[in-house]
Amino acid sequence: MTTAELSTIPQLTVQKPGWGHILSVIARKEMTDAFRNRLFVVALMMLVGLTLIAISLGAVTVHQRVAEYQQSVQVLQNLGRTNIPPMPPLNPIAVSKNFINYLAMVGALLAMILGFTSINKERQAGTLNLILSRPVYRDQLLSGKMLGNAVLLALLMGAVGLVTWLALIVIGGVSLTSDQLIKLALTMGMSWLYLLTFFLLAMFFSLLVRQGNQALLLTVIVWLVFAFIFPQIGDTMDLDNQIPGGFFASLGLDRAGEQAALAKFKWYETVRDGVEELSPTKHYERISFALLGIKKEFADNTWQEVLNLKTVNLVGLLVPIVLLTSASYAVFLRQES
Amino acid sequence: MNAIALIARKEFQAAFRNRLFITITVLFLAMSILSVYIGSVTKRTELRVYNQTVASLTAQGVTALPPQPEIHTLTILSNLTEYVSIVGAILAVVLGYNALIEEKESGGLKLILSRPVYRDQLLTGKLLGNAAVIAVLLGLVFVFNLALLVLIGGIWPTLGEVGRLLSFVGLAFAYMLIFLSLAMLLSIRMQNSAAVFLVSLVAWMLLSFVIPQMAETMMANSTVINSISGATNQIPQDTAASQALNFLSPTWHLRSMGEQLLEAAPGSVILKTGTLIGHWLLTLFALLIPSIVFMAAGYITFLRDETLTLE
Repeated sequence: MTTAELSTIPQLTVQKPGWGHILSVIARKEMTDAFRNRLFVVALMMLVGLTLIAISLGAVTVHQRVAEYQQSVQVLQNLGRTNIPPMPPLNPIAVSKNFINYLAMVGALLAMILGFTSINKERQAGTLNLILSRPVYRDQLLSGKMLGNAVLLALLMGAVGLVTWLALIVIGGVSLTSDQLIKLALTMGMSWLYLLTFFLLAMFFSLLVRQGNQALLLTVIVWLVFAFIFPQIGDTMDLDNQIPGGFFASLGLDRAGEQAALAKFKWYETVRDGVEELSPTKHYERISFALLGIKKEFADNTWQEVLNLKTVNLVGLLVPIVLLTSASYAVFLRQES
Repeated sequence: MNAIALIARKEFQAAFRNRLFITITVLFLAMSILSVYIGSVTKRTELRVYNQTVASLTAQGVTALPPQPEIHTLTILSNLTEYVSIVGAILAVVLGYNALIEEKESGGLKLILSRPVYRDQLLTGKLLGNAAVIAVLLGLVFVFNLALLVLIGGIWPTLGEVGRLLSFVGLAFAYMLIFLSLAMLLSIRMQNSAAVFLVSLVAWMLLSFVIPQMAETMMANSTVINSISGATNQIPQDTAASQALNFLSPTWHLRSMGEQLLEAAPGSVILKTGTLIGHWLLTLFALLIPSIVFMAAGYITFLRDETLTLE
């Protein structure tokens, strides 16, 4: 074939897919893959089941309290009384307390399953090398995987928040104020950050350790230490936990008396607090209990005030996410396939 | 040498060649040391806070002083219940799933079964070997804790207290056996090692945390009024529903008996030996039932399993 003939052949132009397209393809695949993973589905069903039970029981309690008040009002009106006492303060979003506890355990496990399978499935099937031989950069692959799973977890948390809201309206018979609604949404946001931490932890170890089982075990050990052992040490060191009903109450001390007594043991409280602050679980618990008003001292604060007061805990939730994301990129981008 | 003993010995040696197992073991022992240290620091601080409060009350001329908090020797070790129920259970799961799944994946299982070894001998050997690993570990925990009690706490335990600690270690063995046999049963039935580990983890979580937490929500609060300050206090009380739920959780059995044995539960120090032995036997029975069920299911499944298929 002559050069003149060659020039007449129409040129094939291969358009390289855009950054956004690659990301969305990988992210969508992650989301559909998750629902094909039986273990994820089992853990998801367990979490959803427990959440529904916890929220329904909580909503029933709210309904009972409202009904009891209305009944007393009715009795007073029948007696001809006009000075009806106002309804005692009711904090309907505190019904999520048990859900927070379940999420800290089952939710974290769910996130770890996602993080582990996200990398391990590709390694086992040999598709990691295959994908990387295509025009996909390593950082694009990792970002797509993180994005897909982060969206999946966000959708899950959004759904739980929505169910809580609906259960309170339908079963509890109470509507939330805009401040309570924002607090509930923020709690779901914090739950999402918490789950993301454990997803990233599992992903990081799966990238770092090529042997899948070892990666999984390491993830679980780190999780045990940070989510159970550190908070447990903190609880043990809490003097008030030593006696049922409280150590300070047994001495006849109120909150002010307790603080005055502890003033001379500042080093002890600092060590205890330091151990607890190493745990993302404790940060999550502290900020969400404040937002939901489970910790009584925050019940009257607006959501902005709670966020201001609990900034340390928000930072405590964000730091591991930033560290684990950076470490995952650093490990994966330098890895030789 | 007898086939069972040979397999058991191999299991025992293999466990100590597994780096991850050694890591968790070190963590377990480290937790045990830390637990004694934290326990003794907490108790000392508690006593100092009490002395300081009494001094300030006396200076104010108050005559009705609060009673001194009860501090018992074994309370310093009471955190051990938590570490056994968390790290101990995971350690048993790791042992159980390593026992069969690796040989299944590497093809070693077929090779062993083609030799003159019966399936029940193989399973018994593996169970005994891994149970011996757990026993040795708990033995170490027992010795460590007693030594640390003397070295860190500066307390010489009485014979009765040593007996209490030993009884707790016995229960811990029965508790860890549940997770060992569960992980072994799952690794007989399942093909994927990661799935075995994760399913065991889900079961542990359900038994150890979810069930006791559900039971906690079903407790009733009773209000106690402090005779000196008049401050009211809420103390959770068991209800029939919460007790029924807790009964399903081996972790609750271990914790509840552990608190009695390690003198952390109120009134547990004055319990008569006979009563304590009665409670201990009941708890041991409750802890052994799940292991027996899992082991029986494991034998039935493994003996009927077809490893070689004719084409």
